[in-house]
Amino acid sequence: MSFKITGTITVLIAFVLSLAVLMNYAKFERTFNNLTESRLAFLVQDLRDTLEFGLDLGLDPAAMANTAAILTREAAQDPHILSISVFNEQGDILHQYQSELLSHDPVAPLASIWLQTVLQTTSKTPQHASDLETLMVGIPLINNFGRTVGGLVLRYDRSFYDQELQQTLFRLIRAALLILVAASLIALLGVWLLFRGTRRELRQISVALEDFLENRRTSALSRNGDSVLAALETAAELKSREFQQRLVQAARILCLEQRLAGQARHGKAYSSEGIQ
Amino acid sequence: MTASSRFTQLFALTLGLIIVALVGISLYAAVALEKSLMPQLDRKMLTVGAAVNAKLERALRYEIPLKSLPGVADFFGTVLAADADLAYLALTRQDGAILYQYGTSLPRPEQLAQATAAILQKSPASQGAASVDPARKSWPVQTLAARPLGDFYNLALPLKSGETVAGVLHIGADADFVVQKVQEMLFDIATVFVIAILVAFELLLLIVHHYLITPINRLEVVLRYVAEGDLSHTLPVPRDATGWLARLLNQLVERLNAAYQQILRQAAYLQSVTPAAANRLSNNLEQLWRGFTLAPEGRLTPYQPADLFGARVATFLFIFAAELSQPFLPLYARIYATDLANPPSTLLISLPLTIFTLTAALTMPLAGWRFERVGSSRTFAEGALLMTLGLVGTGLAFSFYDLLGWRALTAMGYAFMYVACQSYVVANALPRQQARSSALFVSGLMAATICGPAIGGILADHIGYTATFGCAAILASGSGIMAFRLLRTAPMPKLLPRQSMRGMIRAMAGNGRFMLLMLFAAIPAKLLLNGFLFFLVPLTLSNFGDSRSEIGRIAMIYGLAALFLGPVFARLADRFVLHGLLVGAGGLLTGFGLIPVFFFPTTTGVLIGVLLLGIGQAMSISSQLALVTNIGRASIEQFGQGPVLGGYRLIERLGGAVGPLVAASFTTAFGYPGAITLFGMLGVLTATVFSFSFLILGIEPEADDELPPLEPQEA
Repeated sequence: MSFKITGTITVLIAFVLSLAVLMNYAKFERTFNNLTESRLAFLVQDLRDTLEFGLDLGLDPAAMANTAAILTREAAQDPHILSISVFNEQGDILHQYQSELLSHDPVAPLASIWLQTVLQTTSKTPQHASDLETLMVGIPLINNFGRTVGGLVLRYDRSFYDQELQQTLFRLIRAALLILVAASLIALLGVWLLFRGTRRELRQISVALEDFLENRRTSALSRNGDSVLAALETAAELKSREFQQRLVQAARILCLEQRLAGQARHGKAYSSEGIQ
Repeated sequence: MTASSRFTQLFALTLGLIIVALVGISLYAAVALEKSLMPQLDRKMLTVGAAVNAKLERALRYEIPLKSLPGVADFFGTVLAADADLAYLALTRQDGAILYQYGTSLPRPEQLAQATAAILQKSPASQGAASVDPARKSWPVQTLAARPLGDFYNLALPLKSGETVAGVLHIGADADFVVQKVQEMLFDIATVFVIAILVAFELLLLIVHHYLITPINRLEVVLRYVAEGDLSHTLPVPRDATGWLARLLNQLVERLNAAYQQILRQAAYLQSVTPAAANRLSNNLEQLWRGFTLAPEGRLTPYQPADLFGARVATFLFIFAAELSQPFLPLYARIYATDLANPPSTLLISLPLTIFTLTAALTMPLAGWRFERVGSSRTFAEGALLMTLGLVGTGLAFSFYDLLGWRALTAMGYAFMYVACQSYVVANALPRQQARSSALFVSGLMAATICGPAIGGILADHIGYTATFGCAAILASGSGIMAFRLLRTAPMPKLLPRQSMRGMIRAMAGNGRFMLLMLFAAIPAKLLLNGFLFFLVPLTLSNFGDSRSEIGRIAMIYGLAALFLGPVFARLADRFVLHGLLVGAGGLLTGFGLIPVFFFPTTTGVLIGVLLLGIGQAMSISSQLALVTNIGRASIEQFGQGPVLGGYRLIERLGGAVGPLVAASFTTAFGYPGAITLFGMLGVLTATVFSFSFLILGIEPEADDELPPLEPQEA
């Protein structure tokens, strides 16, 4: 019984902890994602402002010679930036920064549909997307006549991002499991202590009943039962004893009747012999 | 120590452990989240700081003095407006004096001065490189990290002008950034705690009753039987602490019965051998057996009363499963309805809910028929199977039309399970404990009404709709397995003779008070419940921008009010005979609670409406039932309580099915807040008609009303 009750309590605590872990992790994921996305968005917006300054001066995006240096300088802020690409209206890459990480571990090229999505965006809000390997932030480049002349896409290492999320989830699960184990042990101890009296009482009553069944003791009255169950057991034992006595009496009556029947048969035989 | 005090202690122990576990994991999460999020915040502050610094340095390169730069504070404002995570931007001179600053909250000037001095002390020049030009050497990266500064995390970035440091840019974020994020979950954590308490109560009640209280009660009953001389019962032998005692008690009873049977056999033999002594022998033995009851022909009867707590937990689990989708079902239906019409009409969105309620209402008689034939455990298991399939199908539906089909299947399962549990309780409760047993069933149901929406909302927010329907399906199948174990001990109910259904309908329709009660209290109550709580609340709150967790929490308030206030109002109604008054007042309260939503279309307005709906329904539900039994006494005497109450339930459920349709048509014309207000007005109108009608007519017919028509006196 203690194990079943402890098991139930453990299931309950596991339910509570799993919900808590789920909520905390979801909150963490959302906050982490927001922080990362807003940082990358700020970076991209800052780059866009710099590049649009050149466009406002009437420069052709392809002819802006310092773009590569600007991209390199911005990318230097974070080693997990894999690439920053500037492309024209047709989606052709004009300038690109590529991290050294890509030479060891190349990623899939940018999908042209994603570049089109960025180019078709009318707002100045950065667009976010992700694939299996990278997080992507893109923004269109708009000249001072309000025409989209190209775009800018930053790709960020997703493995770093996923690793952070996994580590936090792992930490939360580990902590929850430790709390669960500790709580289960406390529950087991608590339940054991709580139901110790009941178990002892049941054992005592069982022993008493077993003694009675094995004829090991004579009087039920000699025992003190302070619970309803013990009192009932004593009463039941007394009543059973009474019934046993009735059974003995019944056996005696049967015996007597048997003897009488035997005598009667014998007497009958004797008298019939006499008549003969 | 009594069993109830042990249960209280066990419950307290469990609650303590749940609190400790929740506090423990929340504190740990706060630390873990801080550890992971702070470097991200740092990076972001550095990114923003570097960009702002670059712009300022560009201005300084044109040799504009720092103190004369125009619009710096406005520029800071623009940067901060785009980013809610940052608290302030400030620019100080080398001596720490503030030149420009902007932010929702700012550190004290002396704190900024300290931070300025601290960063300048760590400059490359001050770190043993005095001979080297500080402007040409970059700041060590480790110095460019955010540091705690009063209530903030502050990142100080030196601002270079040519070869000198012109000032220091400070970027700040709230030091409680992570704590705030954890605090945003406090409502969710509190919800989980409330639900954990209810689930703990239900499960512990079941476990303690199943493994301790019920076996001990059984032992006590059979021991009492033996003590009173009744030796005809045995006990089931469980594999727990009571098992040994039960086995010994069975041995005792079996042994005594065996000895008795042996005596009877010997006596029978003797009587056949000596017929002359037969009478004397039988008289003597009969005298001996007087005061004892033994098993007829030695066949002992197992004493195994029904486990009503099993029915309660089964009810709790399947209602929990059904209610999981309550806070988002209209939102889910809207996704599918969008495929048919964009934007979809509210009437289309209301259809899955209407189909569910209607199918459930119409399946109840079929479920009752099934219960009479195969018993509660099989009916429940069949219902669980239907519901599981329905929920899985709902989660994976391809189109709006098959969604309707899956909802109908779920409703059929719901009806089967509902009838199986309710009928089990009614069939197995002792006559003097009928009300208590019904309360047991209703409490399980209400507890699930609280837990389901709240957890459903949280799950839908975090794991999505399909996975939440999957969880509901698991719960439904789990309840089926549990009920198959727990409800199968019940004896098969006796088939009742079929009453004339037409006669009953005619009698009920001819009862004016009954019809008034149905039209102006029972039907409006369910109409408001289904139309407002299940349909309008999710859509309106979603329209207000509330998350599904918030919708679930608000829906939970209805259950909380009904669970805790229902018994109080029921007791008050019984004690002071206030049934009619409470039905009327409950209806009025519900109506008045909904009317203000049009004028105050906010989440709080809806929340107050839900709360007053809960209180109003708590006032009227049990009183309505009492009124039905009172008003329909004649029909109950003629047709039985079951059919009459079944008819009443069917009528109010049909009213419930209409609720979403009415709500949808109101919404089309007046929008969500307008529809809620119209619902409130409808509630007030019907409650007023009900109250006036019963004030005039009274609950029971006057003696004069029942006088037979005068017949001509015989001369």
